[in-house]
Amino acid sequence: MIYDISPLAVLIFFVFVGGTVGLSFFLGRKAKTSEGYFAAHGQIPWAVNGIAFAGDYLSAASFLGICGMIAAYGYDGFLYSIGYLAGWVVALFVIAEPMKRLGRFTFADALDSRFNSRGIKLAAGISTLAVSIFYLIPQMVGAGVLIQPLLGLPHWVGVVLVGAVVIVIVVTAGMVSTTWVQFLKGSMLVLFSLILSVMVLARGFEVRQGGIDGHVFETLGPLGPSSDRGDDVIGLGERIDDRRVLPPGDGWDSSRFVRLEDLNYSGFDVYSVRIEDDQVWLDQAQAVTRFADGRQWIDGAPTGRGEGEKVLHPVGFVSQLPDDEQATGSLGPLAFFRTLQDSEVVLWGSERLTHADGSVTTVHFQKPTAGTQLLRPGEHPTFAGIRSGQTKDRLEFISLMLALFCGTASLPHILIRYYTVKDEAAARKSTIVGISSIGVFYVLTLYLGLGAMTSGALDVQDSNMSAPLLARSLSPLLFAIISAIAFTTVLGTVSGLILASSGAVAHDLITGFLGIPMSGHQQVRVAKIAAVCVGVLAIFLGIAFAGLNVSYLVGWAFSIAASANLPALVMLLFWSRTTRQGIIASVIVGMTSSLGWILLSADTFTRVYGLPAEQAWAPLSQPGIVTIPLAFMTLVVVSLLTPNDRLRSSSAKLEPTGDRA
Amino acid sequence: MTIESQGFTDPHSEESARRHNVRLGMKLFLVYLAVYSLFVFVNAFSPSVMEWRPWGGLNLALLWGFGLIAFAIVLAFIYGIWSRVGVADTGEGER
Repeated sequence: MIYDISPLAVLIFFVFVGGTVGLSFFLGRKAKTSEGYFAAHGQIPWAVNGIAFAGDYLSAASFLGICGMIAAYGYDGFLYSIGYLAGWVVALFVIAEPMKRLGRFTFADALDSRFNSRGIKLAAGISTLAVSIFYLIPQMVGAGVLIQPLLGLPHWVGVVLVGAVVIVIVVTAGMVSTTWVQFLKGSMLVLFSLILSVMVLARGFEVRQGGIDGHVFETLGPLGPSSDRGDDVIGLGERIDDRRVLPPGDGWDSSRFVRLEDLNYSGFDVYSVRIEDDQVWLDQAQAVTRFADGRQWIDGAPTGRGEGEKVLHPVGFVSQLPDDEQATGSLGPLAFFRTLQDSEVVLWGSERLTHADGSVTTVHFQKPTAGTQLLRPGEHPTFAGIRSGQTKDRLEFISLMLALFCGTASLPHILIRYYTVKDEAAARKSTIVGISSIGVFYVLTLYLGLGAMTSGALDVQDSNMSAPLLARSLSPLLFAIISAIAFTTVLGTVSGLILASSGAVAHDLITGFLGIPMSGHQQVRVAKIAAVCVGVLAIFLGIAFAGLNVSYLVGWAFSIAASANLPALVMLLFWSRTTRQGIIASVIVGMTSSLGWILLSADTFTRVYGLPAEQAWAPLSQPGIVTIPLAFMTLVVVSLLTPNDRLRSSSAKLEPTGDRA
Repeated sequence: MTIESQGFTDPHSEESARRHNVRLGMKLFLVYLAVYSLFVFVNAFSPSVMEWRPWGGLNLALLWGFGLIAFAIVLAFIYGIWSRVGVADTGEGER
C-alpha cells in the first residue's frame, strides 16, 4: 500500500522521540554508579515499576503482532494474549520475591547466589545475551515496519533510527531512564488502546464492499454452471463483463485466478474463481508482482498514483450483518462479539505464483468468513493443526502455549526489573500492578484486532500495521499518536533488552567469569560500551531479518528463555539438592537444545533458509514441550551425580546464604 | 495490601512471612495452572467444544479466554491481600 505522510504524525513522532531522549539526559546524573546504572539504586516506586513492567513487556510483538494476527485471522491471535498473560502468573507466584531477594543486578546474580561459581556466571551471562539478542530481532524488524508508513523512509532507516535512539537512552542513563521511558510508554499504550477500543465500539459495524478509499471490489457472475465448463473453468477467448480474458500460463492457473483486461487503466484486473451451488463467480483480487530488480507492480501496472499506475486498495470489511442490517450503530462490549459471531467478514488469503522471468506474483484474494469461524481457535496456519486430528499438530500447539507460559518469567529484561525496587514487598506489588495493566491491555487486543479487521483500512501485504491503520480509520490525530506510541513501544523494549545484555557482559562475563576487578564506574563504562556493541548488532540483525513475521520471531526468544533460564531458577528455589554443576548443565542444555531445535525446524527451513519443510530435522517447530522438560531432567540428573556443596540444611531451602563474590 | 494483623504467629518474622508467601503463591499458581492447562488441552484435543455458546450468546473460546485473563488479575490481588510482610520488607532492605 502507498502511505501518505502526515505532517502531524511526523511532528508527534519527533515530539515523542525528543521527549524520550531528553528524559534520558535529564536522568543521566543518577546513573554514575553501578547500582544506579543497573538497578536505579532500587529506588523506583513499586507502582511506577509495575507500569514499567507493562512498558517492558508489551513489545512490538504484543501491540503490532497480536493485533495484526487477530485482524488477519481472528481469535487465534488472542491465544497469544492469553499465553503471554498466563506467564505473569509464574512471575508473580514463583519468581518475583526470590529474584529480588537473591539477586543484585542481573539474572546470573540470582542463579549464582548460593554457589559463587564462575561457570554459572558464564552460562547465565551467555544465556541472557542469547535470549536478549533473539528478542531484539523482532523489535528491530517492527521498528522498520513502522517507520515506512509514518515517515515514508525505507525499512533499514527505521531500524537504524531505533538503534541509535536506544543506544543514546541506555548509554546516558541506564536503568533510571529506561524505567521512566517504560512507565510513560506503558501508561500511554494502555490508555490509548482503551480510547481506541471505545471508539471501535462506538463505531460498530457497517456492511461494505471495499475499504475506506471507496474502491468497490467487484463480484462478477453467475457465469453459468461449472459442470458445463470442464477443467478450464474460464475458457480462452471468452469475454466476461465485455472484457477480454487474458491467457493463462506462466504461473497463472485459470481454475484459480482469471485476469481480465483493464479498459480504463493499464494492466489487468484479477479475480479469484469461486464455485457456489455449481455456479461460477469471480471475486476481485489484488496481484502484487515483484521483479528481480526490486520493482513492484500492482495488477500488471507499475505502483503509483500517476497515469498508467495502480495502487493496492485497503481491505477489511463486514459483508453481511445479522438480520440483513446495513449498520449496527454503537455496540456494547459483549454485543460487539455477539454481532460479529452472526455476521460475515471478508478476510484475505494469498497465493504465490512464480513466473519464467524469475518474478513472483502474490495474489491477495477475498475469503468471506463466517463470524463463528473468526471467533474460534484453529484458523491461523500456526494453530490450524488442532483441527487436523493429528497428534503432531496438537503437540505443536501445546508446545507453543507451554513456551508462552514459561517464557515470561525467564526473560532477562523482565527479571532485572525486580532489582529496581527496594524490597520483596515492592517486587510483589509492582508485579500485581504489571499483571493488571498488561491484562487490561490484552483484553483490549481483541477489540483492537477485530476492529481493525472490519475497519476497511488494512494493508493486505502487512498485518503488523493493523493497529495503527485502525487508528487512521478513526482519526488522523489518533493515528499520529498511536504510531508514535508504537514506535516508543519498540524503543522501550529494546532499551530494556540492551540494558540486560550490557549487564550480562560487564557484570557476569567480565567481572564475574573473567574475574577482572572493576570499580562501579568502570563497570558502568564497560556496560555502556557493551550497550553500543549490542545495539549495533541489533541494527544489523533487524535489517537482515526484515520481512519475517514479528510474532513468529518472538516465539524463538520465548522458547529459548523458557528452556535455558526457568528450569534452573525454579529448581534452585524449590529443590535443595540442586548443585552448581546441575544449574550450569541445565542452562547450557536448555539453551543449545532449544536454539538448535529452532534452527533445524520446518518453520525455519521454509521461512529463513527457503528450503522445503520436509528436509527439516526437528519433528516439531515449537521446541518447548521437549526442551523445557529436558533442561529440568538434565538439572536433576547432573545434580544427583555431583556432590552437593551447599552447607545449609534443606529446611532453609529458600534462604540465600549470601556467599556471593 | 498486607495483613500483618490477621492473627498469624510471629507475623513480623521475615522467615515466617516468606514461608507463608511461598505456600500461598504455590497454591494460587497450581490453581491457575490447572485452569490454563485444561484450556490448552480442550483447545488442542477438542477445539469444536470452544464453539459452544454457554452464556450471553458468547462462545466458550471468548468466555474462557477472557476468564483466564480476569482470573489471573483476581488471583494476583488475592495474593497481594493475603501475603505477609517480613521485617526486611519494611523499608530497610536486606543488603
